[in-house]
Amino acid sequence: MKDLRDYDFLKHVKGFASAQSAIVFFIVYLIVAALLVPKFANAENLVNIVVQSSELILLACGMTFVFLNGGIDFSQIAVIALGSVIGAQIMVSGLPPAVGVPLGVLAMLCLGLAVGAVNGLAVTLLKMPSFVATMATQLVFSGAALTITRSKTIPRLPRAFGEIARGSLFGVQYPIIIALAVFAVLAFLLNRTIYGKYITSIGTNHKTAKISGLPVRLTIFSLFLISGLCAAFASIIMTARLRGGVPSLGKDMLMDVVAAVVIGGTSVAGGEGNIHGSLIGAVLVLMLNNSLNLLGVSWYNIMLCKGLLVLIISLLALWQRKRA
Amino acid sequence: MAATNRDVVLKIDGLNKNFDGVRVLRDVGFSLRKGMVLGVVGENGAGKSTLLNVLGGVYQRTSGEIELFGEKYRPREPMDATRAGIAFIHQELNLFTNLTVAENIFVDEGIRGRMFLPPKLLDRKAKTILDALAIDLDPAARVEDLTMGMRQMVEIAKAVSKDAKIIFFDEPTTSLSTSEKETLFKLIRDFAAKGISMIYISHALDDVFMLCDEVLVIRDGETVGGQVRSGAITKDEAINRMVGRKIGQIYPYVEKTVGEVLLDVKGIVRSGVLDGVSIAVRSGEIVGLFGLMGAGRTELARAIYGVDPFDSGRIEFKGRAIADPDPMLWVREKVAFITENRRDEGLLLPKTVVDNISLVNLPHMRKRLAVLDRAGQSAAAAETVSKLRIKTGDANRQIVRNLSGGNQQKVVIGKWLLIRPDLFILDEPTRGVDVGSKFDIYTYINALAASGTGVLFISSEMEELVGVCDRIAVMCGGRIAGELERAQFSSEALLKLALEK
Amino acid sequence: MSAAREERPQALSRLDRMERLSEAFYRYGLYIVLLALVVLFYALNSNFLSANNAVNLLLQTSSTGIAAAGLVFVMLTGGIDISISAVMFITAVISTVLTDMGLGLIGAIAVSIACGAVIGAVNGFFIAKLKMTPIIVTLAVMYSVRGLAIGFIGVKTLFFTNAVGAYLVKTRILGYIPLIVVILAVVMALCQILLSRTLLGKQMYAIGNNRSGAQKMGIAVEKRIFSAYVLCGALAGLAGLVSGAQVGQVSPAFAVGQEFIIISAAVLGGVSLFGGKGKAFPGAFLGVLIIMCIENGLVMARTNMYAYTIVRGCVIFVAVMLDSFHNKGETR
Repeated sequence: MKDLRDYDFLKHVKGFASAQSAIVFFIVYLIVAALLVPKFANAENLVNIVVQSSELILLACGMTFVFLNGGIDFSQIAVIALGSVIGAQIMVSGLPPAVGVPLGVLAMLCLGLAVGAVNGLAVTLLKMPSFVATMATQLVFSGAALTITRSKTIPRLPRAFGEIARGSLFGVQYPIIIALAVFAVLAFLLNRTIYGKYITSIGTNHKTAKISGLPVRLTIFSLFLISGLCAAFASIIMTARLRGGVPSLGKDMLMDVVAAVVIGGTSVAGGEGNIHGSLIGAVLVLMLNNSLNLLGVSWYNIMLCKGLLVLIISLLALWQRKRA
Repeated sequence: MAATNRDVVLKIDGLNKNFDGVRVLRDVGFSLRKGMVLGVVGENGAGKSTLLNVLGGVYQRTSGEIELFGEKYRPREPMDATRAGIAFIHQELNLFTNLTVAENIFVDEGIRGRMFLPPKLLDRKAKTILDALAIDLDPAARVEDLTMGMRQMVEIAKAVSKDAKIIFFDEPTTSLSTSEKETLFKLIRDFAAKGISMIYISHALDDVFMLCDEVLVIRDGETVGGQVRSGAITKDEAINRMVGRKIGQIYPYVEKTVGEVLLDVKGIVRSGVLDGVSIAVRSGEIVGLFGLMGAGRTELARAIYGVDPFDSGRIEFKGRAIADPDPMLWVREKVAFITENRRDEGLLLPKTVVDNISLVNLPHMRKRLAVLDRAGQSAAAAETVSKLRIKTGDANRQIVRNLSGGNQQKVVIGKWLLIRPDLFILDEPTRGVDVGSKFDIYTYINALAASGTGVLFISSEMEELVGVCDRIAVMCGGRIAGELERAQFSSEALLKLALEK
Repeated sequence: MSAAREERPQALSRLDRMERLSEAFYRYGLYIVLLALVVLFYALNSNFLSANNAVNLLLQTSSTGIAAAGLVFVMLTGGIDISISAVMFITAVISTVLTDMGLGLIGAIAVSIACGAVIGAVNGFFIAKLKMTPIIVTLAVMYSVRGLAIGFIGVKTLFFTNAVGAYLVKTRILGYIPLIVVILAVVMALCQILLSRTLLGKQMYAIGNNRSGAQKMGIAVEKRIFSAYVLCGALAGLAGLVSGAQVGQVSPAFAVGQEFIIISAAVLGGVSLFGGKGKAFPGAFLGVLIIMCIENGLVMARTNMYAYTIVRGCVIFVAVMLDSFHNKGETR
């Protein structure tokens, strides 16, 4: 495994350093919140933010890949909901937990891949714009989640499954480990492998990439698989946290995901992206939610703030790009 | 000049235009009288389009006087030209295919004093215009359902509806059928009779001589022999003036050993574009492909490389039939292709020199686990940079967008270098490239051929083809009009084949 | 034009045939689909064709139809607006509150339209002037506006049951035609006139077909795109008022997901996502009618309520798929 030595921690430090504006936002916000928001800057709360942000990190990392090609994936939230329901169904179907839990988890991951494959085919083969294609699949699969359960929660999943959300290794909770592991793999794929170069090249200019003999369609297809798979991981963590299959799970997360990715410095125009930035962006969004909550700002005003934030950030990014 | 001053509608004197210090137009002067058709002929790149764009307000002139209807004329934007009564009929039409003929005519300004534009009113108004021109077109027809010739008529009708006093035609006949051409010519004569002046730019010399009152030859941005009556000069004389003698460029030609046939293309047909084209390239051979605008050179290359579709025909490479050509397949076969559109199809403009150069060879720049071999990537890029003498800062950081045209083109060539191509298809590789870089590119092409690579060199510059190629095929109207061996090369011979109809 | 297609290749490739098929679908298919649906649901439940149900169907069509007519302008220019549902929500809130305070119907209509137009102008400013991606801009605006509106009333349900709401819902013109249906008809007529008989409309088609060409020709592209978003917002505002009065209550979940239905109705009605193609009437209107027919039919056939979403998703998917086939190659 000599080659893996290339992949040391320093590379990540460099990756984060290139997400400059996200870092600046992050630090400035951290300081401001610590000074102004009571109870924000205590260890328990900060740890809580990090643990809570694991599913958003997963979703944002997956979305980053789709953004890199100038697309968007609305169907992540459907993967979360349907995954939760299907996984729960399998786990409560009477199988012993030793069989049911792994089987459920596997089914959830497969579902993520399947939804991703449908999106990918719609975009590459049928040439549909990604936002409507994923909007349609989102409706279909969320609808399926509601139909299967008749909008009811499937409660009392096995305790062993709940461990995925609660358990910890060397004091680090599993969700964080899962999120960071997936992030590490994806960052590795994007920044270190030729596949990552395919993605950024194709996202920059389809025509040039095609004439240069790159596998354009296959690569774009794979982006949706990644996005779906990331959503499946998020679904596993969220379902485990609730120990229940919830058909409306993740319903309101889309804006958080988009906000995280945009703050991270990835442009919807494609070609330029920063997965390290998305990680920071995800934690920042959680911090925003948390601090505004502590200040007693109601959820709808937080919603307003996030909407405006996305507008402002993409405006800033646009100006920055224009100046460059 | 015999005409009285009052008759002169457009007078140009000592017009110069520089691009980055390079003179594209040099002391151009001519005058256009009322109701006159002036033919402008010249090789590709002689400066005709630049002249047009200066008059149309797309480019600003560097120096010189333009007088329009006796007044100074300085267009700053295309709308100025329209307001001044100048209309342009370009080869690429500017129509909206989803609108009807009538809607296209009135879409920019509507009808004065009318808030509502019911279809009937539009159709009636359009019909009046079309009838006045004796153009037989249904104003309610959608433009997407019209042939190219009919679309052109729409554009002309639109120009006339704007009260154009002067109409510029830029290669108007390239996509027209014979009968459509006749209609166009009749229209032009009618316009002349009505006192509209026209400038007619075309490669079809016969048409120019038949249609125009006077002819102006442009070569290298200069007028040659002034403005003459079209009866006072023969076609051959005109060709001689167009070609002339060029100085300065030295072409590095080397002897090569020509091997067996690499690429064998037979009877490629693409309806309306390619009409049964056959061409072969052998290893170690540089085959030139010449043709005037719209002859089908670029379209042929794109069809072969699988970028654009074609209807029928057979492609063989190294004796094996290639059923479904596709860039991915060609890259595996070590066949390289440079399109004429460097910025949109050749480069990743916002990416670095290293990223661009390694693009084609990416699949091989891997270590275990598909990890990108950055050191190898940089080293290979550095080698390419020095081999092609690309002038760039740190290749790992230099963004390609900020390179000069010549260096950008070298990067496009460089990205194919790493796969050591067996066959290289180059479409206009020296367009918009400075002299020094051109020489570097020729040298590189020669070196490639000397090492056994077959080269298909598409160009609209006769000089460079004559200088570099072993054999030149000439296209005209979607067909191969003829092939010349090196001993037969001359600009005159090439142009004659290319003009043949 | 007789000579129009003289240079057509003889053999049609498979894709070509696909295109022909979808072209035929766009020309007559909408009517056939509508007819088929009517027959199907009539077979399932004979009440479907009753006069009562027909009027009901039109009433259901109205708010979605008004909003879809507005969306046509945006889609013609090649853009998209997913903030429609949030605009509907905020105008429903505002008009409920203001009419409770004594504002009349005309006033409520004016305020709704104005409020929607302002939000549309925000979208238009970012998209036309600053050239930001429509999907991100309108997504962000959607969240902001919904947040703002909930902040305005707090998390509670308003009841739009005052005299104005009742008047809007209950009034029958000539004793039979509901006022709301009249509003829908007026909106449809005005939009279609604007599209097919004014310079603004023609230029929007032109921009969607060939934006750079329109720019070169001197058409004020940015202004036209801006006005498309303003119009879209304004009609979404009106749709909010109508929908609020019809539903009778405005909760924080009001019109959530409505943008999906509106977009799919427009696409289904032949308004292309790639710009330059489509009509408000009959196109978008037929699209809305078909979708409402499906939903209405599903209710009458007593299908599992939760399956509606699945059907909606499938409808969008198929509509967009046909659009992608149909308009391939003509998008420049």
